[in-house]
Amino acid sequence: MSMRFFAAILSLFFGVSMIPADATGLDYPTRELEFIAAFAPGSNTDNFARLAAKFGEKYVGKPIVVVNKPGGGGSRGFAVLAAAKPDGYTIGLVSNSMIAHPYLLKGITFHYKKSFRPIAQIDYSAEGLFVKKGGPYDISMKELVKRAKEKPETIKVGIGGTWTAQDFARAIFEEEAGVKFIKVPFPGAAEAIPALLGGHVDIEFGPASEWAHLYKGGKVSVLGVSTEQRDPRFPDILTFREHGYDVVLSAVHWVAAPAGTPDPIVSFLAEAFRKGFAEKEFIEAADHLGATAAWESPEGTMKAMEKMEQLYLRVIRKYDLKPK
Amino acid sequence: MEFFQHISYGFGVVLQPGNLVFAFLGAIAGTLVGVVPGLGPTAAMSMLLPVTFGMSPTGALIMLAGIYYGAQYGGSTTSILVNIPGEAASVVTCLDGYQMARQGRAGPALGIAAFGSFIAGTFGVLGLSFLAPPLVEAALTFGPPEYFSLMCLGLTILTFLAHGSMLKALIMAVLGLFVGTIGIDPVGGEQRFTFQRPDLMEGIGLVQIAMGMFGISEILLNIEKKIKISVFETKLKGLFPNLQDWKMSMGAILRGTGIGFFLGILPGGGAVISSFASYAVEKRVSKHPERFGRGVIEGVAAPESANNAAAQGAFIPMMTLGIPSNVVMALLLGALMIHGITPGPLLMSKHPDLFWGLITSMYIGNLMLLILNLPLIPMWVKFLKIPYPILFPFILLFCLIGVYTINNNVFDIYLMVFFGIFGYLVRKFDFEAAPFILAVVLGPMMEKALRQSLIMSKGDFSIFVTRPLSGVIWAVAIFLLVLPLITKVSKPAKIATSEERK
Repeated sequence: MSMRFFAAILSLFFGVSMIPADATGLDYPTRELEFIAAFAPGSNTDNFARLAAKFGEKYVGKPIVVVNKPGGGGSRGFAVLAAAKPDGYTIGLVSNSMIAHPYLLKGITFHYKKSFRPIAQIDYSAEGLFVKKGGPYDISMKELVKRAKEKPETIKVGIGGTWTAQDFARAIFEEEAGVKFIKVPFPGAAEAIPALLGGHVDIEFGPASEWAHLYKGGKVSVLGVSTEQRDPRFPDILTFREHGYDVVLSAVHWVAAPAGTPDPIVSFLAEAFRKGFAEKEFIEAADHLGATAAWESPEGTMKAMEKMEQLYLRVIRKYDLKPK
Repeated sequence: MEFFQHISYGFGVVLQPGNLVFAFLGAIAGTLVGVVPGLGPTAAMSMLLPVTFGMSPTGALIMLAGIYYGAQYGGSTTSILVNIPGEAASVVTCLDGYQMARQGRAGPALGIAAFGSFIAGTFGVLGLSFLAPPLVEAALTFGPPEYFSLMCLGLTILTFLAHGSMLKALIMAVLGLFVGTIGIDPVGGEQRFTFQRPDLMEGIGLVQIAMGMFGISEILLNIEKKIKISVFETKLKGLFPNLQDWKMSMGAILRGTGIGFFLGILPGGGAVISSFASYAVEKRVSKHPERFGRGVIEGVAAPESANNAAAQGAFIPMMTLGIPSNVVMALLLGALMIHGITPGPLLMSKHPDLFWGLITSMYIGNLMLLILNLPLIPMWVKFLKIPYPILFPFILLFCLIGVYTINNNVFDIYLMVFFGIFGYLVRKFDFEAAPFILAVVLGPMMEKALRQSLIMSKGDFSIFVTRPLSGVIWAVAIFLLVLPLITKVSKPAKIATSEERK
């Protein structure tokens, strides 16, 4: 309560333009919006929630206040959002994990199709396969796959979170390349990356937001990325597809509202975020955070979610994963 | 002499009026949030983050960093005055700090905490400027096996934490290890003791436990003694540390600084573990270990210096590799990245203004904090004159608000109250809270490291002794455990009885 008040005062000071409700007869929004971020402050997801809120509120016309609801690998925040009153005053950020949770965790009450209404896609970040620069595995993709095939289950792969997007990328890669690594799970990049740089694990999967600065600083080499096309920022990094492995999976952030939010409100918000995400500063900021701004309409967002579910289901079936 | 060039360049940056104001604002905001139990630097920093989008990156970083180390100063205040650790790293400060306050020595305790933090902060800045690149290389040699060995060494701290019965301390530690297993298992993704509640899936937060077991249980114990309304009516003996206090604390401050700085570099919980470790070291080297836990000034000086130095050490992996070792560092990293600055190997050469400006700003900030905090001590001490029936509802209120703001979760309030009642009950039976909390800190890290190591070695336990660094840590741990036995045999009965007679 006090936080919200404080934030409202702050946004008054720091110039939020107050656009009156438009002439379509929609009496919305009349007060500030709450934007639920399902991860802790400082996390990549939180950074994007704050970015989305900042650029969205200009066109929404009322402050958008980010509220962190961390816990359960995001599932608590997603559940809070799913259960919120669908009046357009509570929206939030959802990600790959939201799609995966019902298949991986017991006690999950939400499902992407039944519980949410997509509003917009924010950005995506390529999952990359990276190694320590100058280390024993700073080799070509071909060589890596060759070694992995010669001696199965000897190469240690660091993963910043069991069955997060990067782990799914790893699983799909192993399947596509016909190899098997030793998976060493870490709670997050903060512990997984030092383990790679210290030579305790040999290779690692992770989103560009985690390795971009290390790549630029010459600490890691990136053998492949999981996007369809090469990243224009890193034209030298080949995609997995170019290597001949069909691994296309990104870490994606979406804006969503609880199911039942009325159509006019969803359209209004979709339009506001479209304008916000088209701004040059937004695209730059997303780029700085290691991701690529990639707005999609509500329909496009739903399609992206469906595609992601199909991809995940492939791995879930192969490994026979059950909610636990 | 390159160093002096850098430092003077840094001072040139930070002494610009704008940056000076940001450092000051950050330090004040940090002190304020630090004093409110539970309300930590994270909440304040994340609220101010969008504001910094429009500032210069150097100014933004200086202000956000100011909040961080300011909160480290403020956090000890409530530990000492009312036995409520404002954040996890101030838990140990409660042990002797609160006892000092009850003996009317709140002033010297607060004073030594402030001076200790200042001295540690100063050395921390020096360490940061001279040793950052080699230290980060050293920290990288720690892999899962080394962490496991280090955590085992950490558990030997238990033998120094208990000042009552060792058996009871071990019981509490085992309970703590159990509580540490609650949540989604970090390796397999299995839920353990969560009752499928998302609130429990990431485990139970340390601050919720610490505020309950120290703060809430203390309030409950005090309500019980209704005749003695004013626990603190003992005469106030001095507002600042005297010469004797200084003599006793100097060594503790320096050792605490060293321990804190080095543990701070390692990812995950450095500040908390270093405060426990420095306390244990002081008790080990002290000539009067039996007085620890009853209000010795070294018991305040050491952990307070350690947690401050650890706060600075944590900057090293963030600045040199772009790896955040805690939530606060993650926030700073985010703030920098949004400005298009990627901390990491290139930061020092590409953005020297930012790197050296931040380092020198911490020096200036620490000085500001000392100047700011010393005059506040008489005011804080006066709080203790407020009659308890008026004081405690307010403390309770702030605890409730503070614990809610950690995750914006009402469930955390229930958790704190639960651990408050649990803490009250165990204290009635002469069990101590500190071994419990140490186990909650170390347990999950230990389990994770053990399982990662065994995955790496395909189940072979020799990985813990064949890796040189890990082997050395084991040797030290065994030495520390065996040492008391040897001294016990050579000096019969003396130590044992003073420990056991309570």
